[in-house]
Amino acid sequence: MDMLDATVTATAHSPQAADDAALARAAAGGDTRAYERLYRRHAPRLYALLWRLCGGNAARAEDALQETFIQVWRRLPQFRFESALGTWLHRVAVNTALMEVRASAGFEALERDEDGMDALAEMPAATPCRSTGLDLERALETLPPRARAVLVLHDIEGWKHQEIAEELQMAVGSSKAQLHRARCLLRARLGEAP
Amino acid sequence: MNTHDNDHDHDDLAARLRRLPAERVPPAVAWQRIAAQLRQAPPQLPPPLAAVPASVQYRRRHWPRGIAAAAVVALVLAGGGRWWATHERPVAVAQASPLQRQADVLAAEYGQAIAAIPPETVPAELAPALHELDSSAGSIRSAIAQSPDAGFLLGQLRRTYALRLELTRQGLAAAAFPT
Repeated sequence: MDMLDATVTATAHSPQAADDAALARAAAGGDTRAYERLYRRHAPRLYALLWRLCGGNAARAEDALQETFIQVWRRLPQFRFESALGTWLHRVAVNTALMEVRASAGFEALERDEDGMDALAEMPAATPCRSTGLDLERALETLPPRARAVLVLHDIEGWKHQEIAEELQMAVGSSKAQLHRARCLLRARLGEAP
Repeated sequence: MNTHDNDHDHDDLAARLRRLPAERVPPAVAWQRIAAQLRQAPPQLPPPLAAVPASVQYRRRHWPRGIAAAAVVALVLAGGGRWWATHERPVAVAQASPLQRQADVLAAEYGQAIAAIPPETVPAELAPALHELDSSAGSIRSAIAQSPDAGFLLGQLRRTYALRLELTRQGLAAAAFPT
């Protein structure tokens, strides 16, 4: 999907989107103060997403956040305002984070077992009752990168399998399988019955 | 929220995931770093479109560097191109970026270290893992060529090379001193 052609028209005409557009036009002209306002507005939402996609690795999440806002800054004059700026930022952020996930897939598989169902199941589990948000965040961080990416994008960000498959360059069936695997791993990590 | 899959057993889990905090405040230094780079990289004006028909202008797509890099990474991964050892070829670019030059220096340094280890002494069972690491390093270098500002990729490349070298050394030691 071309990130400049992202089409989420439902939010493109909201008051915040209109304000975003005004700030983006000013930033496209080189106004860094306007761009900082956009950053303050959108960075917390993006950072939460990047934090999860990067498995709680703060350095990677910050790198991806920085790269996202620099990429968008450079491309602002080409943004056609047919979609909400927030949608575009979201797509650039996901693409940036997953670029690293894709690039690092080889050695991460060696560093942490990609097929770690057994290992995860053997790890000390949280109290097998209702887990807290903190438990969930920590459990998410233990998932293999690809499974975690699919789970975050599908279950938290609301992406469809088709979109995830395109982003991760995998088959739709693989996306569904990774989601199932991620949920099972997560339940095992939380000490819940699958 | 998408619920097309039939995994209804996980509805409760999905609901809890959706209730996780939607925001996390980045460290203050993050904006300072971005601002420092903005001053060095003003927004890029689009290319002149005067000679292009309106219908074509509307359809024109400007691929961000991240997408282009991702495509290259995917292509290299799909092709399984092995680039290291005696067959290493420089990434074809008109002019190397500073990041690429750093990557070249890194590759040369680690290449020398690897070359000092005779290939025939490395255990055969390590070959798949080393091949995977070679492919990853090649993918990262290709991504650097496409995204010359993605500084984090250099750290990724360094870690991949270091792991490759360490694995080779460990394999060599295991072969020399079998238990």
